[in-house]
Amino acid sequence: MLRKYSSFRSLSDNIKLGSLTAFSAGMVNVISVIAFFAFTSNVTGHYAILAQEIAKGNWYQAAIVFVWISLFFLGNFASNLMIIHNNKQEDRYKAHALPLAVEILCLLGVGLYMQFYYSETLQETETLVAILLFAMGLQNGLTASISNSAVKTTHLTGLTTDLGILFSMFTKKEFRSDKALLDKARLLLCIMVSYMTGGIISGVIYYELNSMAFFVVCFVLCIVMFYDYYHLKVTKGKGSSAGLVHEQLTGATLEAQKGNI
Amino acid sequence: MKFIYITYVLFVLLAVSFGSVLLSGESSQELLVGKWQEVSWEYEKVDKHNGAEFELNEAQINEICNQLVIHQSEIWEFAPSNKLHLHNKESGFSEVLDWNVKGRGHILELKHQDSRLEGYQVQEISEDNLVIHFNFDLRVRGIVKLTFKKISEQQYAQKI
Repeated sequence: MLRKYSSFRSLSDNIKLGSLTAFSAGMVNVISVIAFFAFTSNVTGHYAILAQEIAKGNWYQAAIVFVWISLFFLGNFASNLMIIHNNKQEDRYKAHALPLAVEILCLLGVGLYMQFYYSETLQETETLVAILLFAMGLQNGLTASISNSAVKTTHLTGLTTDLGILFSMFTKKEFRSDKALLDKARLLLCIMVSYMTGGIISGVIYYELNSMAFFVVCFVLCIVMFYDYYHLKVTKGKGSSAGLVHEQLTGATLEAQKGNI
Repeated sequence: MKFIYITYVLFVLLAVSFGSVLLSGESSQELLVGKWQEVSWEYEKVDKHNGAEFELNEAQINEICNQLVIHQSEIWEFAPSNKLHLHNKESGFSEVLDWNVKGRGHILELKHQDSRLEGYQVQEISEDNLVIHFNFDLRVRGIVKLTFKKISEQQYAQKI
């Protein structure tokens, strides 16, 4: 899920990565809505609220929402920064795993804080939401960056738009047999279903586990992180030549990424 | 290049301005602390659809009734320790609850000692005015709007 980069990724790589990360994003979003009354995976609504608070002259609230949006932005910034500045043959997996590791630390921190110290003050709520938005930014930045923007898991606006367009295209026979379009539809549907499933499950388990639900999210992210670690260890000898060809094409993939943005 | 530098500078300027607002401004949690007198209750009626009354089903009615607490001309005294003292001089009613503000300061949550929860959306808050809407957490459009005026320490002493 994390070893490969850009156009070298298969549909299966993207579906696995997209499903698991969307599942965790859905979980985080629903937990934060229940616990903090604030969305943490989608930012579109925050832009609308920022505009509304500025229009009403509520500067303190506007500043809070601006900080939240900035933290999501910084998460994406930091994620891609880690990837492009460690884009060396031997560090590829580490560069892709690093944003996930930081995200897990953020979620773990929020879960532990809520478990032992949270006294439900507004300042705590604002800070914890900010950390969650940063974590979601890290995740979205990572998946979008390494998949050439094919996988974006924390918001469904663009995804629903793409699905709407795709399914309208499928009303014509020529598009129904286009493998690339079918693959894209499969990927988007998997992400959508996973996000919803994650949201529903976290909604149910939050009432049982409270803040420990964050540990479940961390577990899902650990699967994403260690799946390839295990794979690299097991296939270390076998896949070295294919891996070398892949690594030599780094420059081309970076160019592709630039083109895509 | 110039465009990128300008964007970086603008972002930093925005961050500094909003940061100073955060440091100097008062959050709704800080503004709430003090004594508030209920001034009015308003009920925004639900729309009639095609001439027929909008009907709630049994589950919705139960959920609303479970959450709805009628406050009658009470004084709401928010302490910084997150304790809320509700009292009414005339009826002799008095209750102590836990309060906290969530979201971006737009949700007021009240916890009764018997663990009942009341949720309100903070619609407007200033030094001396507070408007909250009862939050049903349901897609029903009827809302209860409560308006409060802040009681200064001096006014309150005179009143009692």
